Amino acid sequence: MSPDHRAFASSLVDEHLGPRLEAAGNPAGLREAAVDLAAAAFAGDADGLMRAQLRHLLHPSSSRLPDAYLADEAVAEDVLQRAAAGLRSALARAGTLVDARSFERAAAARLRDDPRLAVRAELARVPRPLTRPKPLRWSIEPAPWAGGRGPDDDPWPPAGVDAVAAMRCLPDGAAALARVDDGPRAGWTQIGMIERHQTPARRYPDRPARQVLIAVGLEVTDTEPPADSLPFAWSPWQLWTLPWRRLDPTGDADTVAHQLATGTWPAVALTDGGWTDPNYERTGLGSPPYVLAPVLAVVAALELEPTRGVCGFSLSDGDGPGLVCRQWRGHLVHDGNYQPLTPAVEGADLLVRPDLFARLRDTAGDARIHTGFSVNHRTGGEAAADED
Amino acid sequence: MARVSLAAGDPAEARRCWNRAARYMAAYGSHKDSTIHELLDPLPNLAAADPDQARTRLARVQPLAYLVAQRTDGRSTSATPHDWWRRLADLDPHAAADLAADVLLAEPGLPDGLVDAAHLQLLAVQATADPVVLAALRVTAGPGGRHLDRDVALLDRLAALAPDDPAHAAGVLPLLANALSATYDDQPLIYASDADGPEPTTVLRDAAHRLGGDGPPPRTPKPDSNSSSERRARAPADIATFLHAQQRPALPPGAVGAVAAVRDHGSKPYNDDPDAPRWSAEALTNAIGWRLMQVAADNGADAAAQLLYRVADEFGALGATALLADVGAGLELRRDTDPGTFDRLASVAHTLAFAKIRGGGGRLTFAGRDRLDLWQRAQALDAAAAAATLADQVASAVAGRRYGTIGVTQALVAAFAARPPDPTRPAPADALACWDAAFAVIAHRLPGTADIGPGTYEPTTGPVVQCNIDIALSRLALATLAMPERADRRRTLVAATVMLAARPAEAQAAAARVLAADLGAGPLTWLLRVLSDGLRDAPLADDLAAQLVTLARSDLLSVRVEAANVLAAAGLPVPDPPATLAHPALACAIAAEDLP
Repeated sequence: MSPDHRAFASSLVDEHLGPRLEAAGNPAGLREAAVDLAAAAFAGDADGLMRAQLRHLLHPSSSRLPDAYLADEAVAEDVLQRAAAGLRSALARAGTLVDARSFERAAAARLRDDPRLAVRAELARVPRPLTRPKPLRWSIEPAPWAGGRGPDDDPWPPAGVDAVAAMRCLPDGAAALARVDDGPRAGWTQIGMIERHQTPARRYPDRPARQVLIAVGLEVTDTEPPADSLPFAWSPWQLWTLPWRRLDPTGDADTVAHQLATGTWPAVALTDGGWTDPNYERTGLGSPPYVLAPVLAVVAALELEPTRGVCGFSLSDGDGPGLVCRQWRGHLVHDGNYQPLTPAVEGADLLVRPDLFARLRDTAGDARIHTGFSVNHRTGGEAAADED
Repeated sequence: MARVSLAAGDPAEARRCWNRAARYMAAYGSHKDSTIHELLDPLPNLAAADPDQARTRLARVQPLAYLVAQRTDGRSTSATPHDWWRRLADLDPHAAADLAADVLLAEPGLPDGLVDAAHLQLLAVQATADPVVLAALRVTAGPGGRHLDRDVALLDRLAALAPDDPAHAAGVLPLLANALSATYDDQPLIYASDADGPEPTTVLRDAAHRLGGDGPPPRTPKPDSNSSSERRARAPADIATFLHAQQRPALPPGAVGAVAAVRDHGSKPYNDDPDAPRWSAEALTNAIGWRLMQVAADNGADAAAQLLYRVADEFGALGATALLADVGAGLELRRDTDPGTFDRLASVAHTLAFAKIRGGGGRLTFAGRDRLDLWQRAQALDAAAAAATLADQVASAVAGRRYGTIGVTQALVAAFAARPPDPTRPAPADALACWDAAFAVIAHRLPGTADIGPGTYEPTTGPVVQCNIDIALSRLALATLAMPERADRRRTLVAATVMLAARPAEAQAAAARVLAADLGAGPLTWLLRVLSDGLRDAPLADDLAAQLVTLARSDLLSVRVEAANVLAAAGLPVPDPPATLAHPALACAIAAEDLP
């Protein structure tokens, strides 16, 4: 084992496990043990496996990493769990005896790589829907600039962006929100939508990284929402899996209804389930960039509970699913080296059943409902910085 | 080595080295060896006649398929192991799924092109598998599994599930429809080698809607890059060429006229209108057929048969040899007038058509396996004439031009498996003998030991019931958890979630095997967590419970805790967690922390 292996192991553990160890309170010696074990693994055959993986997944000239759970990340997870398995013995040697099962259950809950969000997000994946407010129809074509072959064929920024870039709300209030045209949720209203079109920098033709971000969200307010803000609040993603009273034990439905009728609030939240959120908890399975949810007050006012059984992001009442978040990604691009292919378009929306939308309008007051809206585009380093 | 041995005074060893080198140079002298397909391609035909014998031969040919790819220059042959895996999926789907899963689980974290080939072929051929299992397998195939007709058919089979099928109650059908149709979004926006797939259609969207899925909006396919060359090929002809094509040729009577008709038809310019009167296939068939009858009436059946041979030769390697089948059909129509003569002539015509129509989309210079119906018809009409004609054609191909024999072996094997040349012999005996004879020659030309890795095939004997195939397919679906890309791993966990809800027996059997592999803490924890959520308090199958007991004693914390949780939820005894030795750094740090 060389100093290089140790330095690499140290950076590996910090990169992949740092936030998790920190959230677990940095148990004494666990990081050092993990670094030691990781260095030994990379002095062994993990390095060879990683090279073989990259050979399979990348073009020889590729300069970007694939979206894969590679040997380095796998080693980091292995060594953390192997080292953590010795926690109980270490405590015993120091004279502290614990109940084996409950101690290990609690330790694992803090230190494991939890797949539930990633699996839910994949279960919520749908083919990219074209549902969006009319002023955003120009965004239906995925990253229209991606296929351009030269300076005379470079639709950037996309036609339509400039016309709406300065707007903060769409005219016509709630009527501006889009409705689903067909399929099992025909007639449902899209109260939130976020979609990112992004291409990496490439040569031949020489193009910088580019990104267009579109966000739409229902907002309830007596005044114009603040400029240059997203039409979203923030929420934990567990809002999809836990009854709202467990997230807000002090809340009650009457108070919430009063707040909805008089307060100023976005109805839609970005959650910490998307990897673009600063509080996102990294997982080896990866996550979408954005996971939307209704704000807690909406869930309470509509008396929704997490849908039982197998589902993606879904809340139900007595009549079945009433509010869902759909995820999509696709339309692959590369940086000129053919591999890796990454989605040019990733997005999510929030749909509400017609009867629940009517209740929401009644509760909030139709005149106070705005269709909040944000569009921005970036090139070069700013756009690239938003890549994973 | 020969020189070294000579210098060391060991001429016998030097000779052995030289002979070995000479054999390898002759066998693998940087040339392609497509004759391996003569053994691989007719295996499904053998299997139709005798599945056990076909599987035995599939096992025998496995090392050769690998050797061709590993030892030759790879031109046109680098995919022969992939072809072998596809044949395995055709002949022994249970073993294909099992072996593919073994390969993935033996090298977790590495993709495998051979497994991909088997995976996709299983989707293509397992049309009668449980639709929920097949849909799970399709979801785990990702964008590589896109195939509009098959996907629509699969969605329709899911929609046709009985109302009391657990898939309805579990609510997984919309999820399967979405997971499957969402792969149509994994389409490159810009050129990216072979990642292109079909675009979604209205039919696909409607099929997804019937299951409660969102359904992909239809998209227009990208323009075909060949369209410009087609436009060039159909450029308007000059007036003289046009007039020539509009006139039927003046042909003499008798044998001379038949040959002249074929020659005139063969003179068609490449880009001339094929529908012009001069190039009419029907007119040529009539010109040959009526003259054949004239020769038969005037000069006897032997002379007519000779004319048939002459006409077939006149078509050449790239001619419209399919017309020979029409000539045969025409002769059959008149068999009532003189059954002896016309049965024989029709049999000869059908056999010639079988031998001369290039198989494999034109790749094979001799027959192939595409028109076995012609051989069967020829045999039914006059077995002796058919056998003699085919033998004559094979002899001509062997004695003839270079590359003329491509397709001979597979044509004979497939033909004799469908109908033996001697109707008194058992059906596949001659086919097996042909295959074995070819194998001996080709194996001699492919010396050495193949590196097959963990995918060595042991042939299955006897029939395998569909429920066991379904379990093997489930296992392959869950084994894709070992693939490196995150999207593949997520899709696998979606498949596992769906199967646990709708097909718990298959899911548990598959999970037991996958959990036995050394997948690492991450993937094992993910799958165990999905099991925990999916099983809740459902009873556990014995093999899964046993594997969970093993994992509950693992030296990986999250793995043993999750395994213990599943056991406890099922009401089974949970082993005490082992006292894993603490790493010295951990022990020292905790001891130091606890010091007063």
